[in-house]
Amino acid sequence: MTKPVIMKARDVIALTKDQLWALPHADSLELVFDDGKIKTTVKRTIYCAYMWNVHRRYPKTPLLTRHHMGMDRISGKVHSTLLESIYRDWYDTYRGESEYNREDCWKLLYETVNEIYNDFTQRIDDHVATLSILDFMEVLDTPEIRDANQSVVPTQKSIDDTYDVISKSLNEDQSLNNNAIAQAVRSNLVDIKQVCQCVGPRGFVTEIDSTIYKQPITVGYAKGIMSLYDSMIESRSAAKALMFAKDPLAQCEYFNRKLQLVGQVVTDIAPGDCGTQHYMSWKVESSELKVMDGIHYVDNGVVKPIGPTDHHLVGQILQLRTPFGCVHPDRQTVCETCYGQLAHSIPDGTVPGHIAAISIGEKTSQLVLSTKHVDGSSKVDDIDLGELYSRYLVPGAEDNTLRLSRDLKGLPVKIVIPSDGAKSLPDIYNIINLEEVNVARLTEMSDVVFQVGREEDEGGMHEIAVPVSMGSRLGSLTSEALYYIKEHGYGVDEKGDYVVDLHSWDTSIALFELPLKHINMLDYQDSVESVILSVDKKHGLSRFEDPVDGIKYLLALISSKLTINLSHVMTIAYAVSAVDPKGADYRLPRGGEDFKFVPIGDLMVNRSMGAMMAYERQEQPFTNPETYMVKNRPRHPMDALLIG
Amino acid sequence: MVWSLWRHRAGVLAHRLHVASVVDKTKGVLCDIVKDEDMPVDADGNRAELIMDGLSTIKRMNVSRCMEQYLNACSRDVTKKIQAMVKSGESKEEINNYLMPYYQIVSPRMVDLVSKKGMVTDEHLAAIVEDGIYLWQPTDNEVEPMDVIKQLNEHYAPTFGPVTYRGMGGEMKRTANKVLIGSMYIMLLEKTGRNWAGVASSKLSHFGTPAKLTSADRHSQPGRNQPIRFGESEGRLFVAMVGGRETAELFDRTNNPVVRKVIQERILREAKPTAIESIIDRKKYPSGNGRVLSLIRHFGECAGWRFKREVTHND
Repeated sequence: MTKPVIMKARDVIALTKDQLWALPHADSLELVFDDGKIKTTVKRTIYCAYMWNVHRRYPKTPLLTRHHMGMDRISGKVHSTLLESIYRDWYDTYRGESEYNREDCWKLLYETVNEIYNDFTQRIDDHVATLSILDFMEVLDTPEIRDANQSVVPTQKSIDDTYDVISKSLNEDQSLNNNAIAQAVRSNLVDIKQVCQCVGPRGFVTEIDSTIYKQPITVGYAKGIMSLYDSMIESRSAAKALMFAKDPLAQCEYFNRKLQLVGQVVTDIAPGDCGTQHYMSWKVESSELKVMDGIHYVDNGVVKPIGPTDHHLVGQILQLRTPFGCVHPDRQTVCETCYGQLAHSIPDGTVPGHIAAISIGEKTSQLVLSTKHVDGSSKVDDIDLGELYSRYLVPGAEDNTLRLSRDLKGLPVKIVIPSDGAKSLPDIYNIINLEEVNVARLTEMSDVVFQVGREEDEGGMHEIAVPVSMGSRLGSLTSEALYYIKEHGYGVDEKGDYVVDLHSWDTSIALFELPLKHINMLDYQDSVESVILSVDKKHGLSRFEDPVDGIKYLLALISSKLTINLSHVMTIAYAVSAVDPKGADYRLPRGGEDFKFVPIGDLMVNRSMGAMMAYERQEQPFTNPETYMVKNRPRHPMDALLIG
Repeated sequence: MVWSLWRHRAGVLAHRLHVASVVDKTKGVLCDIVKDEDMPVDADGNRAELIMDGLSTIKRMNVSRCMEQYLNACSRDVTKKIQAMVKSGESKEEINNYLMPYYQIVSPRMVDLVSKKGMVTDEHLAAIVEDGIYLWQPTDNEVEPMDVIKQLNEHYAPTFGPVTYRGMGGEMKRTANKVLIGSMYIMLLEKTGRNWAGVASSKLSHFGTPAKLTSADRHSQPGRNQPIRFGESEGRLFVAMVGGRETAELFDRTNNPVVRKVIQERILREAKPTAIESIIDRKKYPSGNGRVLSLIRHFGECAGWRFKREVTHND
């Protein structure tokens, strides 16, 4: 066994580029950093040394083992991961020092990426990547992949299993080490889902209305889609791409516009810590940890940031620093501690509310636009109602059903079904065989009201509207529920809505079912819009009694498709909150004040006219007498355009 | 996707940013044009005319274009072999025994099309010698595409090895990987970004506000006679990044006819029109008097209201 070459990372920094590239290639190199040593190779070290431009210009920055890729494979993400880590350490070292200059450091990082691209394309230009049909043939002939493709049957499980086999082989099979497709997969240069559709089954396809075709395509693009059925349902991909590139995209952009105009009311981030004592109590879910990266919380009086690997925090109730508790003197400015560590990446003078809006909007627009490319094998989305509603309804045994929470077993529970969603409910008495009926013809609703408890009980009765839908997938009572109602009957309340007493209902049986439809990005964007902007009061943030429930619900909704940091979600939620809308005070809440979430229409009319004049129906405020009574309107960056 | 073009076909002059369309639902933009001799060449002297990003095939999931490239590379090499056989005077039987199995693999029905009683026709052979092989692949071709590739790879493998090209570093390089050079049917579209565009000042309506172009405006000249518009989307972005006042300044220069006129005069009369430090004296021509704003303010005055900036009690 050859003895590893030992070098100090600090010595590597001192090398010129030519000296760096002239290092003798050693497959076993021991590199000593400020905090320890790692085993790596010279080739990998040449690549990583480019990232250390920050250390060259700012020598006090610690040079740590996490600033090297070790024995990882170079991929499209390695450089950004390393640069992010280096920037964090630079920030911690130089913050407060006279040399501290974020913009200079950002410029350096930007130039570093350019430098890597330019140097590597010139110095190793004999290693260009290529692809031919023989690469596809080789992959298809790999025994595991060939067997998986031959045994695929038209079920979701079979398709998922086949994708797993393909993914594993492309990543691990040694015989594919020189295969261009496997190399691209291992370096994260291509989307594995797309590769699977090329060399495995195309999978389930949806119609333009997102209904999933029951029979999937069991061959992929490399083998060729030959049958008429396969070709015809596959043609829907192009139809969707065409459709989504027009009206839906315009719709998406209009949502972005609204979100930006509303969000821009949060105008600044102030450096430092406002020192507030007002916190938001937040129980950390495991699914939230990743997007809570950089959010500050207080632990025994000490402010700490949440890290993406702080798994010990899951399940704990943390006292979060948030814009709602910030006590910076200007209500439209958030101190960087209350904002979160994401503030480190936002340039001075940039409006954080705008950044929050585009962080959400750009991703939804891009996904709507690239529907064709991200249109993988469609699955029925899991139903996730969020923590608040899981006290009432939980997913049933089938993916598309909801059953009553077992916590309600034995409790007096009634559901109120809106009459406009159950116009044909009385027909159940005329139908003998309810299993054969399309249940969506009888009832179809987005929410039901739960009445739990009795008036005469000590705690009284409480009512809550619980969603039984996901976007355009409206819920219907199952045939079992319809039989139950047929047997036990229903009442009608003063509004004409149907009231069903569930005292004898078996909680293990599905109560609602949703249609087998795929949630497309437009449905998703509609849901996000209706929650943030409270377009209709039934679905918006404004319906939540406890704002934390509202923000958690919004975060869960956004995170169901995208990864957006909680700082952005919190900023947007903050932008749509007001101290006392009923008292015509539409200022942003400060220092733990009570507040309400407000629908977009009210925000626009009652905050600065700068945003309203850029919005829509500009005549509206002038014809409404209330407009002239609202004082203390929060300013808006658009004001300068109106006043000059 | 980024492509570079090597050779200018007769009658077609390619430019950077030209859009190219390929039959199998793909397209691309030409990003660079390099000299013929710098493009990749393989061991058999085949030189690429176009370089495409290989991974874009996976990203667009159009595997068929790799298939087309491979089949055409095979046909090219089969053509060369037949031309050589004819030149060296080999018998028609021998040529037939080499050519017909090729068609049998790729497109069985083509055998009947180009042969009589199992022997290639003289006309077809002459056509191959003259112009190469043009494969007929009916949409209901009875052979499986990947089986075709497999059999061709066994019996008619095209030239496929490292290629030599002038790298980004400026030196001739031999690639470490094998690269296939093969032709594809590509159309070069005339939609280019080279038409001249942009004037300093937009057309005005009778209100003095920037006007929409009419069809006469659009078609009377070869290029756009209207500056690039900064609309509301850009306005939202600008206010968020550089501030409201700077954005208002930008808009005022377009929307205020007097300011526009002064700016135009300055540009025309200045010794160094591209290096004017401060183009408008804001003490003399205050910002915020654009025609659009003036109209709105006028409506307000008539209706009895006006916009006012107030400091919000934010504490």
